[in-house]
Parts: sequence; C-alpha cells; structure tokens
Amino acid sequence: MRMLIIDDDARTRAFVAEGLRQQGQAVDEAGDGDVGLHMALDSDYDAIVVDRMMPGLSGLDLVRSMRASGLKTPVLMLTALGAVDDRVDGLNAGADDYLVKPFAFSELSARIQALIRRPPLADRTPLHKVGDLTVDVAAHRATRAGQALDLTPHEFKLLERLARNAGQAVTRTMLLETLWGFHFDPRANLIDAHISRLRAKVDRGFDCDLIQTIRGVGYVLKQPD
Amino acid sequence: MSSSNRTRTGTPSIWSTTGLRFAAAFSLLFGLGAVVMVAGIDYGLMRFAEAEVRDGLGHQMEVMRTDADRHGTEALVRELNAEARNRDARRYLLLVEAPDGSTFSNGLTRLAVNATGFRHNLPNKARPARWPDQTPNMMTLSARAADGGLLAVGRDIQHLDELRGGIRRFALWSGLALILLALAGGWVSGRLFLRRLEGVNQAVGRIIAGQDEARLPSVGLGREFNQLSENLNRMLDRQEAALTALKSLSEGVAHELRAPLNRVRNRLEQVASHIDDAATRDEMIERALAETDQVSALFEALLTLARIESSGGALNVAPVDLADLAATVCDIYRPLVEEANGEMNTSLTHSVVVEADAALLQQALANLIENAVFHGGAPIRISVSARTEEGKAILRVADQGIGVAESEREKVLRRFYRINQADPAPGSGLGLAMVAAVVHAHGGALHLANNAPGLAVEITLPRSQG
Repeated sequence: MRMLIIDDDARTRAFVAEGLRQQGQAVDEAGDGDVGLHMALDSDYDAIVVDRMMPGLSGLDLVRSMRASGLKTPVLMLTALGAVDDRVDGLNAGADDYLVKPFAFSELSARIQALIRRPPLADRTPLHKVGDLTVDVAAHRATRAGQALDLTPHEFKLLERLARNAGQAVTRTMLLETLWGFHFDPRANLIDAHISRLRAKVDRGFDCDLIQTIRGVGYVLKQPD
Repeated sequence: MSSSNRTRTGTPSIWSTTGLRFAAAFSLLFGLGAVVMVAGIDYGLMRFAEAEVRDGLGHQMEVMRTDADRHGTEALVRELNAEARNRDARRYLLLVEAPDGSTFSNGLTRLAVNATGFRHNLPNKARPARWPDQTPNMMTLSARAADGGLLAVGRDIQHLDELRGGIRRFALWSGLALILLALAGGWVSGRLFLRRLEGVNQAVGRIIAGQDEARLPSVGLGREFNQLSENLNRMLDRQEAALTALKSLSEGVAHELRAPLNRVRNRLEQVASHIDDAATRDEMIERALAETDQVSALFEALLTLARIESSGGALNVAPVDLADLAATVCDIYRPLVEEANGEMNTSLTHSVVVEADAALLQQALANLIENAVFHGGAPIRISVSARTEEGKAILRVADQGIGVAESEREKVLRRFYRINQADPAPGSGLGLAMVAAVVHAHGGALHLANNAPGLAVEITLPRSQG
C-alpha cells in the first residue's frame, strides 16, 4: 500500500508517516498543498491524508482540485476544527472521512484501513460473511450457523458496520459517528454497552467469539485465528 | 498605539469649543441682521419725515404765494411785519423780499435758500460766525411771486436728525448687547458642555486605567446626550460581563487542565519507574492516554460551546421531530442504563416538530441523559417525554436522584461548576452549560425543577410554524 501525507506541520506529518511505515506502508510526504497536489496527480496512491489548514493551497481546495481532475483516491482530512459545519465542508469538498486533531494514531490507522477497503459504490456487496455469520443487508437479516439472530434495528446497524469492515479494527469514535451521527465524545461507554448486547446475541452459545475487542482501539469482527 | 493608550482629559480652551464658535457665528449674524433692520427703519422713517416736512413747506408756500399774487409781495411783507409781533413763536421761518426792496424775515437768510425749489441745509460744524442764530439743519423752499418777489419758507429739521441719531444709538447699543448676550450664552453653554464632557472623558480614562466597573456620568443637556451615555454604559456592561465570563472561563480552564496534566505526569513517572514490569507499565500508559483523551474532550466541548454561544443564530436549522430525535437518543442510551439495572421510560408517541439544529439538540439531550445516568442516584430511573403545550414544544428529562437544591439551580448551568467537587463521575463540567447554550441559541427556555425526588429538566422551544 502506498500513502501520501500532506501537512505543513512537520511533527504531525512525521508522526503519521512513521506510524504508517511501521505498519509496512510506503509513505510519501508533502509539506504544502501545491507540492501535495502535484504528487497526488503524478503518482498512484491508495490513500491520501491531507491537513485542512495549510498556507497556500488549503486542504479543501486541494481535494476539490483532485476531484475536479477525476482522481478518486480516498482522502482522509485532518483538522483542528471539529464543528459539524467544518466536517460537512470537508466532505462536500470531496474528502471521504474527517478526523479532528488531536487524534490517536490507532484511530487514524483504522479510518485509513476502512477507506482503502471501501469498495466503489456499485460493487458494494449487500451480503457479508464472517465465519459462519452471514449479514444480509438487503434483507435486513443476520444468521449464525444457519440460525436467525433476533436483532433490534440498532444492533443490526452495528453488526453491519462491523461486518462491512470485517477483519479491520473499527474504533468507537467511528461507530459513534457513522451509526448515530454523534460528533461528540459521550462520557459513558455507550458503544461498549451496545457491543455487549450484540455479543450476547451473536456470540453467546456459539463455539467461538467473532466480535473481538482491540484494547485501546475498538472492535473487530473476524474469525479467531 | 502607545500614545493613544490614554485619553486626553485636560480641558480644551473655552475659545476652541464648538459651543462658543456657534455662539460667535450666531451673534455675528444677529448683529448683521440688526444693522440691516435698523438701516431699513432709518431709511423708511427719514423718508416719511422728510416728505412730511416738504408737504408742510409746500403748504405754507401756497398760502404765501396766494397772498403775494393777489395783493403783491409788498403787501405781504407789510402784513407779515405787522403780524410778527404777535407770532414770534412761529413754526416756520419765512423770508420775503419784495421788488421794492422791503423784506420780511424771522430768521431765514438769503444764504439758506435757493433761487427756487427745495434746499436742505446740512449742519455745518464750521458754521460761519455771521449766522449766529441760524439753525444749521433745515429744509427750505423758495419760489417767485407773480410780481417777482422772493418767497422762502424754511423749517428746522434738527429733530429729524435727533430722531435718526436716537435710532442709530439704539441700534448700536442693543446690537452690542445682543452680541454680548449671545457670546455669554455660548460661553456658558460651552463651559457647561465641556464640564460634562470632561466628566465623561475622565470616566473613560478610569476605565482605560483598569477600573472596569467605572461608568460614564450622564452628559445632561438633553435626551439625546443622555441616551448616548446610557447606551455607552450598556455597552460597557455587556463588555464587562463578557470579560468577567472570559476571566472565569480561563481560570476554569486552567484549573480543569491542571488536574489531568498532573495525573498524566504521575502516570508517566510510574511508567518510568516500572519500565521492566510490563503489566503495570502498560496499564499506566493506557491510563495516561485516557487522561489526554479527557483533556481533548474538554477542549472539544469548550470549542463547541464557544461556537454555539457565538453562533448568533447561525445554526443548521431544519424541521426536527423532537419525539423522534429523543426516541433515537434514548435507544442509544438504553443498553447503558439497563446494564446498570436502571430503567428508562419514554413518552414520545406524538410528533413534536420544531425548527432546530438537530445535531445540537441531540447533543444537549445526550448531556441531560448522561447527567441523569451519573448523578441520578441508584437505581437509575430516567423518564424522557416530549409534548406540546400552549404552542410550545417541551422536552423533559427527569431522574429520581438527589436532585439539585433550589439555590444551586442557577449555578449548575455555569461552566465547570460541580455541586460536589469530590464527585467521581466523569465529565468536563460543561454538560449543562452546553445544554443552556443550545437552548438559548434556539430562543428557548431551560427550566430545572424538583421531580420529588430527583431533578426534572425541561427544555421549552418555540413550536415550528410549518
């Protein structure tokens, strides 16, 4: 996998690049928007991380130019501005996801993975299979080992979100944002409470646990090794 | 900026004040007007008086000429001389010279008359000594009788000059008095105005010097001036309130930051001293990370709060069904409540549509439910309802915990305020402040009440018109 990091803040850039390299990614860096745009257009990247506020070409304008040139590479926008409006601006400009500074590297990494794995809209399969679990998005039905699971709508949405990223970590923040549009940090461990309910229905009574906790990061749905 | 840092509070010279300059200009105009008016009166009056004198002279001349033409000038002279003893106090001065050389004169000399017609003898200061008794200022009329005799009549018009002089003196003195009065008035009102302004200036100086509580005195001199100082004072009140809020905010932030920073530091010290004990080390690192997350959350909440408060109505407003929104948020929190063996009751069946920013309302409601979860006592019993009352939408979140004392209800809406500082419940201390800000931004009202037992929070929003 090949990534491009565009951020005028050298420390953030180095931190992100270093982390991704440790995961075995090839990482290019750009210190300003103009250079970044050239690099994005010249080479083929799997994902681009771009800071929103940069002198010269801003992150928003960079993404707009990229999209105007027909480049569909997934973009994760970083920003110090966290209001809903700013998020909407970023997404409208053509970014695929939006992460507010300060962030945990695990959060950034999980989001990049989710972006890379996100299939083009047309190919999106309405059927996810993880081990003996089947999540049928179109029929709004989940079965495990042939047994239908009795899930509430909220639980189904949560399971579907995990299944779509099967094998990849999904953070609590990602779940809060995508499931309920919570762009704030609740004091309570909301996600954990929902996961434990979901576990009771998906994993209890079966031979292995498909919903697994990744300490300090979030959850992953996968067949245990 | 360094020189403009202080106001100049010294009194400017009275001569440079606007009031006096106005006064001077007005008195000048006044004086000019008086001069024009007096000149007009003078001209009209003199013309009238002169015409009257000429009429009188003409009439007298007619009488004499009729006599002279009928009986001859000599006869007139004789008659006049005979009459002169009885009529020495004559109003008119006469001079009659008959062709035979006989004359009559009661003071009018040949020098003062023309051959025929009117003559105005101007007063001559260098009066020839041979006219010791001649009235210097007179109007004369002369004519010839049919027999060639000279008929002349004159009238002293000194009184006209005196009248004219009187008018002019009156104009001069009253004009001077007017100008002086106007100047004095200007000076006094200028002084008055200056003294008031000086008071205002000194008050501004005190405020600049740091006395934030100082206020401008009333300028006086009129409603508009008073309104100006009142409005300025109102502006100062607002700014002082904002400044006080900012001060307490920065104190609060500093205070709120110190504790988690200290804990992060402690954890990292423990990491350093347990570097070989993998389990303890990892746990401490995780705790330190959790603390930094708390600091981030605090800043995020502060920024959001600041945005809501400064939004000035710039919300993403759309029709929102409060009952729907609340049902979703309750569903999200229900597993948490039930996990703690709590209960969450909802009464959200009828749709209650308001014009609102859904994301902000969602967060406000989440804050209220979290408050009930963390401060609502055990077991947790939360009830959430939405209803319409008198054209208003009311969202109510109630718990059955220890509630909030009446005296604390105002305070709990402040940033960082905690009823019990030792309360171990998580949170930034901004939850209710944010609810209050959201409600305020929507033009609604927030009401904290006794749920007997527990706390009931009611958000009242104006109902959607659509």
